[in-house]
Amino acid sequence: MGLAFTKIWQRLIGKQEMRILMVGLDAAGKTTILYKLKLGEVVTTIPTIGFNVETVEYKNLSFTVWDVGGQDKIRPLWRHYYQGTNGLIYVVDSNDRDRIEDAREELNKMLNEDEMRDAVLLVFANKQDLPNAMTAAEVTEKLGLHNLRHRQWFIQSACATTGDGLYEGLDWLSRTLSSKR
Amino acid sequence: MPWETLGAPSAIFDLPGNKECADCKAYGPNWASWNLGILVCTTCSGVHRHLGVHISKVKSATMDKWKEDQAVACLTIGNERSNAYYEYNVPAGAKYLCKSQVAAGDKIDPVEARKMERWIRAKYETKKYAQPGVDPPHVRLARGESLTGGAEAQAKQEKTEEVDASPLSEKSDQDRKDKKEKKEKKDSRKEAKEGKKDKKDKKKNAE
Repeated sequence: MGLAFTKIWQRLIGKQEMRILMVGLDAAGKTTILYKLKLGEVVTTIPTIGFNVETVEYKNLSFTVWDVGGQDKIRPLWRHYYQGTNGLIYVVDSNDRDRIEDAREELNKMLNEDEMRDAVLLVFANKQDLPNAMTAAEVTEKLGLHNLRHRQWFIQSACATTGDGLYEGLDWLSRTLSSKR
Repeated sequence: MPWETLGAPSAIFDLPGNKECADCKAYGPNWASWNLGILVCTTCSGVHRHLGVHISKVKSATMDKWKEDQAVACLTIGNERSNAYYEYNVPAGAKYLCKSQVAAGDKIDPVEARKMERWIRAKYETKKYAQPGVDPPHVRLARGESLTGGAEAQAKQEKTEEVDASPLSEKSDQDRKDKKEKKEKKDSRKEAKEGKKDKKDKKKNAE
């Protein structure tokens, strides 16, 4: 009886919808993550010029994930996607030690924007399968995540091509966003 | 302050071999693997990005910021020189050649992607077809060596600069031809001018 009631209730109110913005430097693995979550397959992608958007159903939530291209010239366009964002997924290529400082700068720039004030932050320390990849702890330190104030954040080591870590990240997002409502 | 520009210096597009993708020969490549010093098409750039930055560092030649060392690598190496090394000994049929419509949206057709990845990994990761006994161009560049050949090739080249059989000689042949043609044109123009001058002189004399 209780179960039936829950099902009817869920059907009536539908799943909670969450707007997720996924950004990061070029070649961090954003589009690969998007399609791994959506299709469950590894696809070889070409660079995103513009954006991809997909809805991913997970647990009690329906995530609308916006995957936005990361080339230098198109990074200023990220801000057009800020409005109404509940969660920010920031993807980092853990193998790219040379550009982790750039990644930190871009992240801080974004978090300082007023429209992003209430967004929770999930960082994927991606490409853990590659040699010499930084650990999640190293990425945390290099991005300066411990210095963030008034921000709920979580870092998850991940490998988009195997899917490792992706659902653990979504778990945190759904727990955190559900409790915020 | 070190310089940085939006987009690669345009001279990169004029290097020998850079009118075609270094890997699949598609016309008009707009992406670079700057550490390898080559230009590739959008689809091959996707495969290069998939390899990881320890093998290939991809940048848009038009939409990314470029630092000096990145531009220098691309201006010094280029597709022709890179392929002279990485495609030194490719068996017939092993090359991947571009097909239209292999990507839909941001996804490459999985069957084609596997073929392309096999070719590009063999070329750059395992260096299956590379010139034996010589380091890759970007490694030699980092050591500050001249890129006209390997140690032995270099000695050979010094001797046979004019009749060198490397792909670069095609260009110098072409250059020589071009120069010859230009000279011929110049000569004929000169003759025409002289002809006019003669006529003028005759006119003057008649007056």
